[in-house]
Amino acid sequence: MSHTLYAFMTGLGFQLALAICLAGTLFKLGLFFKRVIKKDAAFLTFFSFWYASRSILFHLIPFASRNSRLNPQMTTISTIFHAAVITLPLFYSAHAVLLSDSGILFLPRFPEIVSDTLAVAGVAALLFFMGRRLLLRDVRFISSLMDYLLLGSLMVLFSSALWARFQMPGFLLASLIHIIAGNLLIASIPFTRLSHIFYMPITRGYAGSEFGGVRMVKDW
Amino acid sequence: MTESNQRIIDADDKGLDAGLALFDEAKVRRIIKKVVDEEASPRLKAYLSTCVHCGLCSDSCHYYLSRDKDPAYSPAGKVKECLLPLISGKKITPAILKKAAVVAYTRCNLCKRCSLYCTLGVDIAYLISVVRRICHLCGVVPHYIQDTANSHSATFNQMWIKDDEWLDCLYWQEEEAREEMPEISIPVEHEGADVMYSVIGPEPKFRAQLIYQAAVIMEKAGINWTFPGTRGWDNSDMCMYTGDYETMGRLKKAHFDTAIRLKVNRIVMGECGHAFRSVFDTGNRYIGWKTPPIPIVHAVEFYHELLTENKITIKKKLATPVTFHDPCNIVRGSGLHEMARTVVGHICETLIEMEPNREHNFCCGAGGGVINCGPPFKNERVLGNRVKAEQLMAAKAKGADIVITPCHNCHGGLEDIIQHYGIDMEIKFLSDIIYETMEI
Ligand code: SF4
Ligand code: SF4
Ligand code: SF4
Repeated sequence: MSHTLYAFMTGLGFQLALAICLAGTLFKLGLFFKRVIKKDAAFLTFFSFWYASRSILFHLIPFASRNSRLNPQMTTISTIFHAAVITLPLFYSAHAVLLSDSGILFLPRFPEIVSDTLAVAGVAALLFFMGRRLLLRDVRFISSLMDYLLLGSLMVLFSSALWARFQMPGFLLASLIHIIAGNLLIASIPFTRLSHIFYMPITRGYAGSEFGGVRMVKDW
Repeated sequence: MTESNQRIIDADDKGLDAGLALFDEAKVRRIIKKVVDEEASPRLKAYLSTCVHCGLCSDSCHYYLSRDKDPAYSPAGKVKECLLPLISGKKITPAILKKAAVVAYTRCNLCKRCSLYCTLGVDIAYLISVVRRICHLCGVVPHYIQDTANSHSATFNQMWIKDDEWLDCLYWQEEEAREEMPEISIPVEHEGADVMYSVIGPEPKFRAQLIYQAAVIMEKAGINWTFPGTRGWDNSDMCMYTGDYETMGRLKKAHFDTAIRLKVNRIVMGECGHAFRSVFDTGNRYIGWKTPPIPIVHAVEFYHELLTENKITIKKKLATPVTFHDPCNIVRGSGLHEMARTVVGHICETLIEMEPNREHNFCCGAGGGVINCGPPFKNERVLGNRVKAEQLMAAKAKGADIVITPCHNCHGGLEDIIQHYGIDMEIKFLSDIIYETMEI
């Protein structure tokens, strides 16, 4: 049973998750631009790839923006977390094997030490994020059930990965959980806060376009 | 009951109450649906979906810092307090709408500082403006600012000034100026002038000396300029802040039309922040202009031109050390901070900076129409900007006795802060000091 589920989740299930993610993203972006054309002429008029990219870069490069310098801890931890969450799905050896076996992508593979370190750092970062959410008054105030669920799912994803990787007792179950959680998270990207992955270039980009192009001021 | 709820009940405003007396949930829902689904930019939903509730914008807001980090005053906290209850689909009561109005109109200056601090670029000021738009359409607007908007609508100026009173004021100021410079005149309706000079309603009403000073500066600099003698002389705009965009459009159209009728080359605006935002950035868009149809020059740029091109001469720089408050509408609104410092450098010996400054300045707390919400909310406003008081005190400790700010609203906001926190400082416009130090 778990074998069929495993096969499904790494095969058709994964493809389905990817398809939902892509279709959902395209749908959301399509809807966004359809409404932009109808309702927000200013967006198209003022959006500038130059100023958008400038602003996005200054906000992504750690310690380039004033706020990232004011919060060095958060900047460091969040950079490491994002590095882990973006690279591990592609370059962790087991993932890379799955990807190349299914003929989707042929990618270089991280040495074990790199992926292990990133995964452990990822868990630590998630604990830090959860700590902030629970302990900092302003973050707790704006946190909703969905925010906790999202963090929880990411924790399950990372810790089950480590569990399976180090073959601790019950690792088969752990890897199944990992794969299910991964697929669910991929599929949920367009419909949850994870949508910041594709909205960020639009939202930060538009802010950068207005500040840079219209108001002639830097915005980082 | 939380502390922030108590504040809401304290807020006693007859404009809000009058609107709420007609409360009809079905109608309010229709308005919200119309604004969110039909009027608003899709950015609204993108912002709400993309905000990861990280709280990294909290410390960027002077309200949050000044209110001992009360989370209800953080940028994202304010969105939770005012916008989310209106669009959650749950029941909307008069209390919920009132709270939304109080938060949107009186706890956010739309200063856009937080937009520099959110990596994802969530535009909190835009989200708050959407709430104001909803409240405007529901008729739930604080009394004082609504009165100003009514004045705009009826008289095309902010202060219920009648057309003949405007002309009377100009003649009166011309007479005053002639005591000093007998040959001076204040040109009115001078077609084909290079510059149309426009001011905000409170200038003729409360600060008429600024008109006289401007006339002297123009005369000495040899500028070919004119005031309009008709409606369209007032460049201010509280409708942009109440959410009455239709009236905002009428106001800006009248302003541009007047300049075009007078066939001037450019509009020079007095020292005001919000009016600049309205003419340069917001109002022009509403009536379909990507950039204003006629070049708009803020007083800071204009003085910069006069001083760097030696059109006026400074006799002796002001010796008293000064500090400079950056009005957000011209720094985050138009990057004029370096020009302003060049102007200060020409007219003052010592500039002591407040920290942070330039595009990272803290708002004065008056902007976004908050000061125009009047006495019922004055206390909230002054308590909400203790950080500005601390900045001023630090500058004072380093020797600054004067704070310069080229914005009318900032003057109002800083005056209240200085008085409340007992800071011994004088507030001046750039033109006050130019007038004092220039060769006449
Ligand atoms: S607005 Fe930006 S900084 Fe503030 S909580 Fe949302 S994502 Fe974080
Ligand atoms: S007052 Fe300024 S910093 Fe605070 S929430 Fe409003 S726009 Fe953002
Ligand atoms: S009053 Fe001055 S500081 Fe305050 S918002 Fe306006 S321009 Fe900014």
